[in-house]
Amino acid sequence: MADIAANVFADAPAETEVRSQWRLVLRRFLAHRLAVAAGVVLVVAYLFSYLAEPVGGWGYKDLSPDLSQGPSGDHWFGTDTIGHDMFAQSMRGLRVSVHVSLVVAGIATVLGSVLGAVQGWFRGRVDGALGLLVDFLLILPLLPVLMVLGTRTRASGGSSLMFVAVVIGLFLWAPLARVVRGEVLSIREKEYIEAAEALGASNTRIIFRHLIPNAMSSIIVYATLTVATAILLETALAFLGFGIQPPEVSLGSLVDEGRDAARTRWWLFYLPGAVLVLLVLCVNFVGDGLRDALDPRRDQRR
Amino acid sequence: MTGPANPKAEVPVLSVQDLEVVFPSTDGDVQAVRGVSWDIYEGEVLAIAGESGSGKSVSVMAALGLLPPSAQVSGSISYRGQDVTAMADKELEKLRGSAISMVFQDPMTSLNPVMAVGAQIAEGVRVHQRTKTAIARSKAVELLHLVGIPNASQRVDSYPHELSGGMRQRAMIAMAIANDPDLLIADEPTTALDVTIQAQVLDVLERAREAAGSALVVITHDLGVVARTAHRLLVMYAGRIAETGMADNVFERPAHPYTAGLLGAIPRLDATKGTRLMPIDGTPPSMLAPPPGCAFAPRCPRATEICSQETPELRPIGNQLTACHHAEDQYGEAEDV
Repeated sequence: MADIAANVFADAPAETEVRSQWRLVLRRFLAHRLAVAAGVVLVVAYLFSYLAEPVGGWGYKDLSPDLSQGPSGDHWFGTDTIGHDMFAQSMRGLRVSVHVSLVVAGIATVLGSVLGAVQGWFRGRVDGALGLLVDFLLILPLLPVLMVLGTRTRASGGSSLMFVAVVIGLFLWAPLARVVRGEVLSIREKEYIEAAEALGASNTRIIFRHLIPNAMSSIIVYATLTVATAILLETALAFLGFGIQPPEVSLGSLVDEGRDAARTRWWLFYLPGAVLVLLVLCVNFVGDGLRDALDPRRDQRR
Repeated sequence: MTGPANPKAEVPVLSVQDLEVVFPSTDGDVQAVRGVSWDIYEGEVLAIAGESGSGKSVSVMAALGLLPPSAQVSGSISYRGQDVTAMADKELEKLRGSAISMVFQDPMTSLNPVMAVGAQIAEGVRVHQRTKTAIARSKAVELLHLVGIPNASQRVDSYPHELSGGMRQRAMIAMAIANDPDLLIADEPTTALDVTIQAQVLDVLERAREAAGSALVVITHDLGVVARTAHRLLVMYAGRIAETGMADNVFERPAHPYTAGLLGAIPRLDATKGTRLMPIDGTPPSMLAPPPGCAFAPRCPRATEICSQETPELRPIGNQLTACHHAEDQYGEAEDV
């Protein structure tokens, strides 16, 4: 037996340093320059939104004596008709949009992944019932529905930011559920799922430890898309006058208020609009980078 | 059946009686297993050999309740006297991985690519024993060390793609013995591996079996694997048992023309120079409509009229059981060689 054991150990490769997974992920992400740049811009912009008042000198609710002025040293983004400092307002709007979109994406991603995985794993009736719900949510014209809900909340005395976010989140999980279901239908046939079953893993364990992690790259890509969608959807709602109510601002409400002035006082429309576009673009780039970095099947040397 | 290797153990670890498995398909019913019985006793190594589609994998998958829901299973499978086929899902989950455990064929696809191997082994431990994560982890290190993975304390954090095929198969074996199972089932454990690694993995499997004190069922189409590991051999053909007995006896004097054919088709070091390998002509029958009588008859050099009319029963020939009308002739001829 001893010589067998010696034999068995003989094929041991030379000791190699085993890299920790998270260092690997970080390194792959850092190799993705655009994503890193976008991430830095996002974080800096978000943190800076808290410094907008002390640095720019104006709060977002402050009314300055300067009405309808173009960008200047005092008002970086100019002012509107009643003297709001547009820089302070844009930064406030950025912060609000980020918060709303993160809550939306969080709710939609968790619901979408879990329900999609449940559909794909159990199939049969469970799949059918949830599938109907998904189809229903997908055919709902989202904007009108949210507008109706928006008016109701306004009637009941102002809508809270989080209420808007939660409602949007409850509507946005359906497309992700579909994607995850499809992924899971293919993953469930893999041998390691059979192996997990053979080792006595329960349904819950298989779903959360094996199926969802293996669908993670799609989920992450979809989650970032959802962040972008949520920002745009909240913007659209605000643009139509629903969702966020003054004096609170979001990028959408700013663009809405500035749109009439797009030709005459361009800064009211284009500057918050630029912040919005930049925000959505950065989110998408970060999503790209995360997808590449988190996939352990990619070459470990990159 | 042949007697237990260990005469003290009277109740078999796993007993399969008159197992029949049918898969309905659009073309008709596929009769994958057609009445198979076998037992395995404590500490014993049983090899089930046969070519693709002979029903060898299906008969053990049935034992774990892992067949697709469409499969129609009849007959009885009992683990230490408890009927497995009658068990609820929860009970089966408890059984799988703790009492009966499995090593899969392809280590490339049988490990979850996004989980570190150590975490996968630890998972197997934590499914069945309520232990802390840290304890499960150190158990994983211990198991990886046992199966001969160098640098085990660092390798626990490796992902499957960072390991070679042989290493992954060792990790699979570590996973399978994590809960000291009574019965270990290895489904073609070396088929997907490099020839140079096969022997090592078989050694590891044998060591793991000893460490866990379990019985082992090896499913294989490679009689070389059988020769190396098995105490007892069961040869399957077209969903039935062709021949079974102590491995040494069957190798020495096969009484079934199919077994003899299989043995004639593998290269041997002790053969005289110039001896040709003898292939078995023809292909296995379609399991949609298996031929009446002996399923091997169309390919059998000894086939006579009775073979295509009457299904041969397993009967004792020499030291083994053989299902062949001409077993005596075959057995007698083997003696002359």
